[in-house]
Amino acid sequence: MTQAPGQQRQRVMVVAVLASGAVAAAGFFSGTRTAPTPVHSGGSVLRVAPGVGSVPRHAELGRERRGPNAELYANAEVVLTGTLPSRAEPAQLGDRAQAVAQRAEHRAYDGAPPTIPHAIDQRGAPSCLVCHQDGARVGERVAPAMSHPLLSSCTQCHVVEADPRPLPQRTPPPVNEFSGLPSSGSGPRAWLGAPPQVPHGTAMRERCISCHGPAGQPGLRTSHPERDNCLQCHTATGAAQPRFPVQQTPPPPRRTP
Amino acid sequence: MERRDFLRMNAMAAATAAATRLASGQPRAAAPGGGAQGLAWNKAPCRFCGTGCHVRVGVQGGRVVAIAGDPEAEVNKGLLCVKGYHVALALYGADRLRQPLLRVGGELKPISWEHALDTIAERVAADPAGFAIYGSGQWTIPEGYAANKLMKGGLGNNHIDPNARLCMASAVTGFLSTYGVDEPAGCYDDLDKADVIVLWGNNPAEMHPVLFSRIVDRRTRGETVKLIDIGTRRTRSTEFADHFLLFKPNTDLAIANGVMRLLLERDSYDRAFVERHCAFRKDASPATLEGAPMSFEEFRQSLAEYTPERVEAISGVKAADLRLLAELFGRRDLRITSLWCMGMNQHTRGTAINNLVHGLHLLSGHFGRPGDAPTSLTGQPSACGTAREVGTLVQALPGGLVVANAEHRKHAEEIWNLAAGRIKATPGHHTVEMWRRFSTPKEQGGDISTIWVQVTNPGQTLPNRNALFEPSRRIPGKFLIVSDVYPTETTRAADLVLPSALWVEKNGMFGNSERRTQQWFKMVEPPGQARDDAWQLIAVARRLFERGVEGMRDKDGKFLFSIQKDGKEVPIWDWKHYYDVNVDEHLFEEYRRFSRFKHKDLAPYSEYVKARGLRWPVVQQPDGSWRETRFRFAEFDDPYVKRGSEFEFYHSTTKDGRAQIWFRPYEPPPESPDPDYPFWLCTGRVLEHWHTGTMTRRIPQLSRAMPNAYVEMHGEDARRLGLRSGDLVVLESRRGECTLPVWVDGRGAPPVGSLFVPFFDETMLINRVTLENYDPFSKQPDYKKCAVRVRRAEAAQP
Repeated sequence: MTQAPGQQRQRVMVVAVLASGAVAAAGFFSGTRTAPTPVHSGGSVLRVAPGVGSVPRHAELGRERRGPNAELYANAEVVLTGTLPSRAEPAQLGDRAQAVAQRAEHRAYDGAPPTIPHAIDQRGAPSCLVCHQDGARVGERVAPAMSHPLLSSCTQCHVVEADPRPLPQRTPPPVNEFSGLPSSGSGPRAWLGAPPQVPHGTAMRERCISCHGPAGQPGLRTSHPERDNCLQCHTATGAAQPRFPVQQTPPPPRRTP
Repeated sequence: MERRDFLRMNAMAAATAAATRLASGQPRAAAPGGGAQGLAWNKAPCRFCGTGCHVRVGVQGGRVVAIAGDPEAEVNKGLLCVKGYHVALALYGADRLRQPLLRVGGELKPISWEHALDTIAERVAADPAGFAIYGSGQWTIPEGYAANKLMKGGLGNNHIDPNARLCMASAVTGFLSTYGVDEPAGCYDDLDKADVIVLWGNNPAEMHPVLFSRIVDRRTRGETVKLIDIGTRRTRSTEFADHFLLFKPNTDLAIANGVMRLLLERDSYDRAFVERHCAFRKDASPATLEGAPMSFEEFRQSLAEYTPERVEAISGVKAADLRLLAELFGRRDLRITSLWCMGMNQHTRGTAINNLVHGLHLLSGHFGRPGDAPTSLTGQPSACGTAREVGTLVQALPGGLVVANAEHRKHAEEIWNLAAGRIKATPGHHTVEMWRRFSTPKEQGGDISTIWVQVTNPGQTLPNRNALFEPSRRIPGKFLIVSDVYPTETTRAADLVLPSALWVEKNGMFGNSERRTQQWFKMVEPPGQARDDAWQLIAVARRLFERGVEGMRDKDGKFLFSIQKDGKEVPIWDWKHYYDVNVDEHLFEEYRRFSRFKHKDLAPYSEYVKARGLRWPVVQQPDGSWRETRFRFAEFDDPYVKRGSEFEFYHSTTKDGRAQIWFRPYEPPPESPDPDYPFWLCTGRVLEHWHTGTMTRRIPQLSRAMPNAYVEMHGEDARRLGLRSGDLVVLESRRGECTLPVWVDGRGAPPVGSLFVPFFDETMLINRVTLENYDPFSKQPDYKKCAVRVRRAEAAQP
C-alpha cells in the first residue's frame, strides 16, 4: 500500500515545518531588533544585473514573502497541530458538503461576514486577533485565521449570533424570507486533473489558508499546503465575482405586475 | 429545545441532505460555478446611515441574494459594516406591508389603491392649509423633491418637515451662521490625512463604522493618527482613543471656549488666517441666526472667564487635558479633523456648540487643508441630499434657497413655471410644533388636521411621545396617513397605511455626509401592491388636479408633474405606466436647475449613473467632463474661489468673503438631575440597529446579536440600588416611564450618575421619557440629556 511513502511524506513535512518554524522564529527575532537593515554582511547578497534588484537568500524568504498567504508558515503551531490531509487519504465524499453546510450556518449568504459562535467582550475591542490572526486549534475547536488582511475594528462586521449579554431575549427572532446566495459548487476545471478555478468571490477572502489551509475543514483543505501562491494556478473567475460593467444608460423600463 | 441546538440540528440535517444527494448521484443544484448562475451584480448606496458606502447588489431570479462591498467606491473602498453586509435582508422580513389599509371601526382593513388615493385627496382638498407632510432623510432625492414641490409649489403650504429636524438641524444652523451656506467644507479625504481626529460626543466605531475603520486602519498600515475622544461615556470608540476626556453633559461649550481662550492666551492661534478670512460674532438681541458683529478684543474679553480651572469645575475635564487640546490646536504642523454627529446636534445649545467647534478650527487655522476640517456626520442616507439640499425643511426651498426670501421664491416659481406669489413666505410648522398642533384640538389652536408620514417612524422617535404623538390618536378629526414598508409604532396608530417600495425595489438617489450625490436603479420588484413613495405623491397630486385644485397646475395649465415623451404626456400617475420613463431622471434634471444659486452645482443624471457618487459642486470643464469638488472655499480645489484669495467664503453672512467665529457662552441645560430625578439619561444608537429598528430588527443576524434595548449603568450605581445585569427597572422622568433590563458595564460604560438607553426597540419606548425642549435656532430637540429616576420593576414583564 501507500503507507511507507505516506510516512516518509509526513516525516518530510515535519522537517519542513520545523525548518519553517525556525525560519519564522529567526525572522521574528531579527525583526524585533532595532536596525533590521544589514541582516547579512559579507557579500551574501547576490550581485545581479543593475535594475533587477537584489535576490533574497533562502533564509530570508519567510520574511520576504509577499501576497495574501505570505504568513502561511508564520504560525508553526497551526501547521503542527493541524491534521494534514494526505494524498493517500482523500477527503471523504460528503466532507465538502458538510463543511459548506457548517459555513452556511454562520453566514446569511456566501460571502457574508460570519457571525461569532461564541461570547465576546462587548465592551471595547475584544482580543479577536489572539486566536484569529493566524488561526488556532484547541482540541477539536478550530479558530479559523482571518480570511482578509488585518483590519482593526473586528466587531464592525462580526457580531455574536446568540444573546450577547446576561440578558434574556424578550422578543422572538424575526422571520425573514431572504434566501442567500448558496456556496458555489467546487470550482470548474478545464480538464480532469487541471487546477480548479476559484468558484467564489475573493473580496475579503484573499487569505486562502483561512479555509483551505491545514487547519481548514476536511473537504476544503488543500492537498498541497506547502505552496503559498494559490492564485498562480487557481484563477479567480466566474459569476460569483462581483464584477459588472458600469451601466451607461438606464435599464429598459420594467413592466409592473 | 434551545435555539442553538435547533440551529445546529438544522445545519446537520442540511449537511446530511447534501451528502445524501451527492452520494446518490443526483445532479447537484450547483453545477460548476452553479450557485452563482444567473447572478447579476449592480451598484447602489447602502440603505442605512449617512456614510454613503456603496454596495454591490447580487440579484438572482428576481431576488437580492448577495451583497459585497464595492471596491470602486471611494467612501468605503470595498469595506462595509455588519448592517451593510446584511442590508439585502431588510427587503425580506415576513411581515412586509403589501396592501393599503384603512382604519374602519377601530381596525386596519385592506382597501384598494384607488380608494386610498381618493381618501387622501378628499382630506387634502377639504383642508389644504391643515395638511402637513412629515418625511425624512431616507426619502430619495427625487421623492423629497416631489413632496416639496407638491406642498410649497402646488398647495402653497410650507408644512413639510423631515425627521432630519430631530437629527442634524443644528448642524445646518451651525454651518449657515458660520459660513453663510450649509454643509461641510471638507470631506472624507480629511480622514486619510489628519494627524489628529477629535471626536465631539461621537461614537463612530458603532455609528459610522466604515469611517472609523478608515481612520484606525491607518495605524495598521504604520501611519500615526492620534484619536481624542471627548465624550460623556466610554464607548467602543474610546478603546481606540489615545485620550479620553470625560465631560459632564451639556458642558462641551465650556470646553470649546476654554481651548479658544488658551489659544489666545498663548498667542498660538493662526493670526494670519483669522485676519484675512474671519470675523467675530455674538448674539444679537433679540437673537437671530446672523447675530451681531463684535471686535477681536471684545471676543478675547468674552472668553476671559473660561480659564482651565473654571472649565474643569464646569465640565469635569482636567485642566491638563484642556491644555493638551490647546497645544494640539495651537500647532501649525499638525492636521486636525473634528467629527461630530448627534452629540452636538441633539442639544438645546446645538447651534452654539456647532459654532464653537467651527470657530475653534477657524481660530487655529485648522481649516481647508486636506486633513484640517470641522466635519459633521449625518445619520441618514440622504439627510444631506434630501433634507438639506432638496430643502424639505419648513423654511427651505431646493438648492439652499429659503421661503422667507422674495428673490428665492421668485427663482422657484420660475423653475416650477408657477404664477408669481404661489409660494408662501412664512415657514411652516417645524417638527415639534407640527406634532404638537396635530395633538391639539382645532379649537385650541391645533390647526394641523392631517399628516402624511413617509419613510419614518415618529411614533417611536418623537421626543416626549406621550405629549406630542398619542393625544392626536384620541382627538376626533385628526387623520394620520403613513407610507412604510413594515408595521411600526406609527403605522399601528395610523388611519391609513400605504405599502411602499424599499431601496433597490425602486430607482433612487441619495446624498451622503460629504456632499456626495449617488444614484441607483431598480433591481427587483416590490412585494404585493407596495409602490414607490414618489409615485404615491404624484398619484395624489393627479387626483387633486382632476378635482380642479388650482395649485396642481402650472401657469400654462399643465399638471405639476407632467412628463412628455415623443410629444405626448406619459400618465406616470397610473402605476402601470410609472416606469415607462425614468421619473427619477426627470425630477432630478428639474431639481438640478436649483443647484446653481448657492454653488451646489449638480451634474446631469447620466453622470451619476457612471459614478459611485460625485461631491458637489460638480462643475463642467472646458473639455465637457464633470469635476467634483472635495474642499470647498479653498482656492486650490474650489473653482468658485476668487484666484489669489487662498480661501473665500463666497456666501459669507457679512458679504465680505469671511467666516464667522462666534462667542457662545456656556449655559446650564433646561433640566438637570436633582434629588427627585437624580440620574442623567442619554439616548442613542448601537452598531447593529439603525434608527427605530424597523429594518434591522427584522434581520436575524442583527436582531440575534442585539435583540432588545437595555439601560447601561455604572457598577457603583447598580450596587447602591441592589441591581444586577438583567434585572428589570423602571426609568421615570417628569414626562413618562419605560421598563428595561439593566446592563452593568455593557456595550458602553457611563460614569456614576449617568444612564444610556438605545432607542431602536419598539417594545421599550424610551421616547416616552425624553424631553422635547429644543434649540432656539434649529428647533432640534435634545435627546441626549434629561433627568430620570430608577426603581426596580415589579415582577410583571414589560
